[in-house]
Amino acid sequence: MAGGPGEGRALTDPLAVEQAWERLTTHLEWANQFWLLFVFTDDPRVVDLLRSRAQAQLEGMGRSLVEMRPSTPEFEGLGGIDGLVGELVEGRHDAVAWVDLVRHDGEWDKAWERLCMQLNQRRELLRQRWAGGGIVFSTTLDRLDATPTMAPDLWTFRALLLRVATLPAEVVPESVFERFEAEAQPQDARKDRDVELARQAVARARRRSDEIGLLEGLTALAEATRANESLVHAREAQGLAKRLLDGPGEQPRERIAACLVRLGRVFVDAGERGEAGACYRGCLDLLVAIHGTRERPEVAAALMGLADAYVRADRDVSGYSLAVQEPALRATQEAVEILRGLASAQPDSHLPELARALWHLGIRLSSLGRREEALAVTQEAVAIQRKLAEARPDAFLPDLAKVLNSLGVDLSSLGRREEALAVTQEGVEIRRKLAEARPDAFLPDLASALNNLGIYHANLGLHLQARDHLAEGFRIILPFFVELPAAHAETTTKLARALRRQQDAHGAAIPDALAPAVAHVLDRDQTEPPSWSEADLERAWSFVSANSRAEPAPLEPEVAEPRWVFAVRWAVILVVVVVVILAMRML
Amino acid sequence: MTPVRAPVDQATRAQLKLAYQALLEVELAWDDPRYVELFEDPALASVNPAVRMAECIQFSSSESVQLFSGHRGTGKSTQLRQLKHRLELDPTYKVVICDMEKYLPMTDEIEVVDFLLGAAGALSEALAIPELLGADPTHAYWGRFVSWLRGQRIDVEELGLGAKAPVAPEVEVGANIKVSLKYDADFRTQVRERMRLHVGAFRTEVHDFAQDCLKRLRKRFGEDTQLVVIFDSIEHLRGTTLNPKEVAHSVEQLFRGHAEALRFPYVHTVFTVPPWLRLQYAGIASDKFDNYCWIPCVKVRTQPPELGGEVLAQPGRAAEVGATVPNQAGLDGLWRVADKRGDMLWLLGDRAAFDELALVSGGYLRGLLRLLADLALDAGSRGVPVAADRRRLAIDELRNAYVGFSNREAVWLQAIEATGKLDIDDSVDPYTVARFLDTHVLLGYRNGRDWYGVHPVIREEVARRAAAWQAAQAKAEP
Repeated sequence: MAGGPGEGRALTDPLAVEQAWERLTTHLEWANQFWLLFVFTDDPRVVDLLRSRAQAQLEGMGRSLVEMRPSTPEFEGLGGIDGLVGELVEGRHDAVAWVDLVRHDGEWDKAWERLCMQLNQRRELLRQRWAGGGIVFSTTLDRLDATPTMAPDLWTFRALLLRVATLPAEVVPESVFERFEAEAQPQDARKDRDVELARQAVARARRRSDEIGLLEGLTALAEATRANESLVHAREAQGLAKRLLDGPGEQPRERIAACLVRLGRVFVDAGERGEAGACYRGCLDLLVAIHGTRERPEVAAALMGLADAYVRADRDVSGYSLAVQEPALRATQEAVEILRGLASAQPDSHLPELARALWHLGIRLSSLGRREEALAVTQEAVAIQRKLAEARPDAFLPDLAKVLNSLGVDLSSLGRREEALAVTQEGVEIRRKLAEARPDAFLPDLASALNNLGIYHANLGLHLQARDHLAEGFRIILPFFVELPAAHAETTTKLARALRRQQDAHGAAIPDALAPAVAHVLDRDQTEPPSWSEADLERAWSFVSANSRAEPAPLEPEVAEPRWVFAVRWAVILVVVVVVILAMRML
Repeated sequence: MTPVRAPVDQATRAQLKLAYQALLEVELAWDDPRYVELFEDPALASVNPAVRMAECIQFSSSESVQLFSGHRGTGKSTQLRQLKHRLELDPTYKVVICDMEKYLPMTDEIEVVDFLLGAAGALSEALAIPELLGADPTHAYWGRFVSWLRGQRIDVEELGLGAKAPVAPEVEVGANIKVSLKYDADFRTQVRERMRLHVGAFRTEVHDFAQDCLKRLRKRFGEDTQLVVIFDSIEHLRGTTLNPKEVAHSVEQLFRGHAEALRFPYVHTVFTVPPWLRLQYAGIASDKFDNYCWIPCVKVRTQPPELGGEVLAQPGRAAEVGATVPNQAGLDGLWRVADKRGDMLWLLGDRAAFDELALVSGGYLRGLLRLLADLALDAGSRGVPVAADRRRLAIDELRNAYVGFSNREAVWLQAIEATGKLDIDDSVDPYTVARFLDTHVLLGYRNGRDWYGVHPVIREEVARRAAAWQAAQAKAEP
């Protein structure tokens, strides 16, 4: 049934996920005989969310949920539709089966038809063999109209029909996945800028009445300092820039524009979207006035910054919303178009910016639920990043790893979990290499990527492997969390939650060495973002101190893993350790 | 922001839970205390299917053949069980129900040979219970079939039966044929080809077998024994999206062209058939069938004499000119059925609210029960009685399950709504009719005569789409 009145929704709109869950949870609590239920949604995340909640509820009732998800739309063969039919017909008496065909690509329409027809013929077997339970069929919304014809008997039996809307973008940050924040521009050296020197530069400019020098000095000081002080300097710099531009005389407008871009970023980081937007818009006007065209890399950069100002600052305050996503999308699309033109003329100069802009565009499109388009542009970004990374791995491998992570999220959101797992695995391997060289810079990213990798494994039913990846990620992130809790709380909490879920729902025990820390993190997982007391941090630090960051305790091997794989894995680790030791000695 | 609602107390939820479970229970046994026999109402008694079919059998001097049809969810299975019960009150009647879906593929074209083979096999298995003939493999039809093939000099080895078909019939032969008949398209093709010149002989063979069964029954239970065979689930023959027309055509051919094969001498038979076959009734040798019986939807509105122009009365508004005139007897019947499963006054607040839902359901019982279950589920979060706006939302949601038709089809649907007749346009094939009847886009009623209408919940949508189609056509014309 639709949502409540006055909730601003047309009567025939699909349900919001929480409304669907309200109905589903009551149904699961009340239904006492064999039942069938249809969920139509275009968003695989909806299915993941509803299914995981249903699973938790059923397990709380001492029952179980069996996820059934064909890996191929082929009818025959391993992971095909006929195998799924066989599995369903076999039955599990009082369990609940969740059949997931929220798949948009390839031949899945035919697969859905085949499944419906096969099961429609076997409805009595289904009824007998799931007598005390039920079956949830989930598929895409566009298949709703045809389903009654394909499976008229199942349709007649149905207890409930849920049409569920795509999750809004704001759910993404709360999701189990980690999508690396896409900065408007590569992180420059501003975080390494010495505060004292920045103060000296400002003082010097004031003394000399060097207004441009003061503008640049204040901008640098705003970048180097934190919180309120940073904002004070940024606002002074913004006011000065405006005064310079409004005042008489010829001013070095390129330098002012460059300062405005940097100031915009400072405001974004401080959550001041309005001021950030003003900076970027002012910069855009200025650049167009200077160059007489928008076809400039600086314009593209300002547009990217403007988009970033919309979404990042807004997310900090209240989560993504349509009001900011659409203008952010427009700005990013324009930036991409500009950079396409520039890259076609001078690929060496502009391909990196184009790849970055495409990556952003993918994120923007995904945030608006345009997932197929998002996937296409992210794939394009990956293709470019691969070329760049082949030529200059040191410069571009980090970006390739990030874009691969985004590609994984995009694929997963379209239900293409196997592919999501593969590309995320590739990203993890890249991060491992990077983290070996620069652990402090890349280990947190590796932990985030391992979170996703773990969840993709879990989604495919590989719970022990999922546990291992999550445990590794948790072990990696914990010391960083202890040192900078605000920066790493979200990743740490997600990993802890996911580990606990694998243990509780699938019997994949948390390794003993990590169990106290996971429990500790989850004990405090009550607020978003979590608030961590000094005592909490002290306890976590005790754990970290007792468990070396460099030499994590080995996890028990995957039960299903062949022994030779296990042996090879540890042989490789041993070799890496020896090489690192030798390298350190040489240094 | 979603408004915060007061939690529903546990006692209310417990009662709602019971109502929800009862409303969703698909098939109540006819002797279940919650079961309500709609057709016992004097207003509906004249169309009581079980009574009509039983009378047809009881009044027949030798054999009888009847066709039985109705929408999914209108209680066909219950009526068949009632028929069995009603007949077996007289111990001379031995009634078996054969689920043909276990023997025939429902997604392929059917031919008379397949059907007769499946029917004979089903009959022999249905009789193989201790209360009737017992599980004597020498009486099983599958082995007899192999012997018959050999007697006709049809190469059983080429049919894949030789290896498992020793001279004496055995159980695995039956299993082999039964599985092959249902699941092996090649086997069916070969059987058809090999028997192309033996169809008449095979019909005789199957009829002989049925008569042998009757003789054995009479030998055991007395010479007055009557055998009644109900061949159920034939209406489930519908094909896939690749062959729906071919399958529909083959079903039509079976009943049109082979009616004599379906008449088993001295045996009473009932065949459940798809509701769209009613269309062809006049053309399928009606003199060869003794009765056509179907379960209409409960008539919740009366059909005005002029036909057409009906508009569903809007809740809260008095009936207007041209508006639906509710049929009180039908509404009362549905009320009795629903109220037996849960306290409807408590759930909905008043009878008018129920009538609104019953009218919207079009008298399609299972749809109405599901709608009520949906509201019980909703009340689990919001409390009782269900508010009017929640009812409206439930109806809107219900509509989404019925809108799988094109604008062009809407024109045709609207014409049916206006005339009450299905066969308005020769260009509409049986499959299209079957699809809409199968999915309850079209509902059938009986009002002295049979008439059809569009499901009330989509009536406005049908009109809107039909108008859109006609406007597009007008625009396209030079």
